[in-house]
Amino acid sequence: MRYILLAVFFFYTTSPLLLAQNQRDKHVFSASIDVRATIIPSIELITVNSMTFGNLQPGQKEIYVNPINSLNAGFMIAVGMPETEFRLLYLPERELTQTNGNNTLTFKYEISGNSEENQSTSELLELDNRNIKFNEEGRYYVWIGGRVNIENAQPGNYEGDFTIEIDYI
Amino acid sequence: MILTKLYIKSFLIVFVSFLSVNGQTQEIDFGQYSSRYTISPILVQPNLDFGTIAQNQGVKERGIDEAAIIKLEGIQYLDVLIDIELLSPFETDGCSDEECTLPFILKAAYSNFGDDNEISAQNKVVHIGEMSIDHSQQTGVLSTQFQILSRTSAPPGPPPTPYHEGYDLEAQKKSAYLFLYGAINANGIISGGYSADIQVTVYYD
Repeated sequence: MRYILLAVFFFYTTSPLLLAQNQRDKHVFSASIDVRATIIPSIELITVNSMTFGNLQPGQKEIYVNPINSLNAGFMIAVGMPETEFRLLYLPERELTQTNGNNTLTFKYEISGNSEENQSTSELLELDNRNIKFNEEGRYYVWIGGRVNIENAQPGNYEGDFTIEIDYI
Repeated sequence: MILTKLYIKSFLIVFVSFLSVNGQTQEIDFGQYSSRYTISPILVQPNLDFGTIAQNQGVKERGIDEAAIIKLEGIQYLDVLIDIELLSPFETDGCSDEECTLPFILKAAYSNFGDDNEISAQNKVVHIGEMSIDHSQQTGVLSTQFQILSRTSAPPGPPPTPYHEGYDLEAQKKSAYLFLYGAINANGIISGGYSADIQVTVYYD
């Protein structure tokens, strides 16, 4: 008898809840929203070699470092998302400042790039390049050269920076 | 004697349970007692796409003008209950570590002012709230309730006409809009494709 009464109690207390749940289940409408994002590696620029000028000859009026074939060219590797396009731009002219004086020289940069690590097949890059991309390993190779007129330069050491910017498109 | 006491206790329990059954019937619940009321969630914009972001570039937001949008076509004078649930964390394939779980703030808003399209509806929304999902808090729910067509500040009107033979329920339908948007944070997260599902359930009150 006790169990019968407990069963009656259970039925009456739970049946309204079950009924409501049943009714609600009949009228639930659902939709699914897809959320997505792609995280790509941040770009790193690794300087492998700095540009050097070698020994100057007496009476030499200009220094020219050819980025495509000179061993004095600077060498950098950009590392990023494989097969992803990026934008590369650089400042074409920079002033080199005499370290122990006030004299300056204007250096005109030329750079070349290649998706393979092969300087001789690299191509000269414009000031603002948008159609280049990282290779399968996420690398792009850059050689830095340029020219500077030293006809009226004062003897001494000169130094300056090279600014290159790389961003994903 | 002991048996008699048991019967008395049992009788009281059953009596109380009857009272609770009677209490349930005091509410007029249009949604519960008519299977004729339907609601159609239409995916106007089924994706919340944050696009591409580089590692450690910080926060990227998608505003309400770039939100995922669900259009709810329902009976204008009925309330709907909405549950917006993120069922799993925002992860990349094959990894559930902290650096593979993209911190995500999900925001939600609705517009129930009778607009015909989502563009005009975006200009007048009610914010439901927001929830933060990350490696430590991997799921969450936002819930709200509103009438398909807002009464705005007007007092409640007369009770709606009950359904009867020949009554055109379709004529009573209006559109409300649900907007899902938010922000992600790419700091300290490894590269890869990240995805998650937001489940939205809708039912009449």
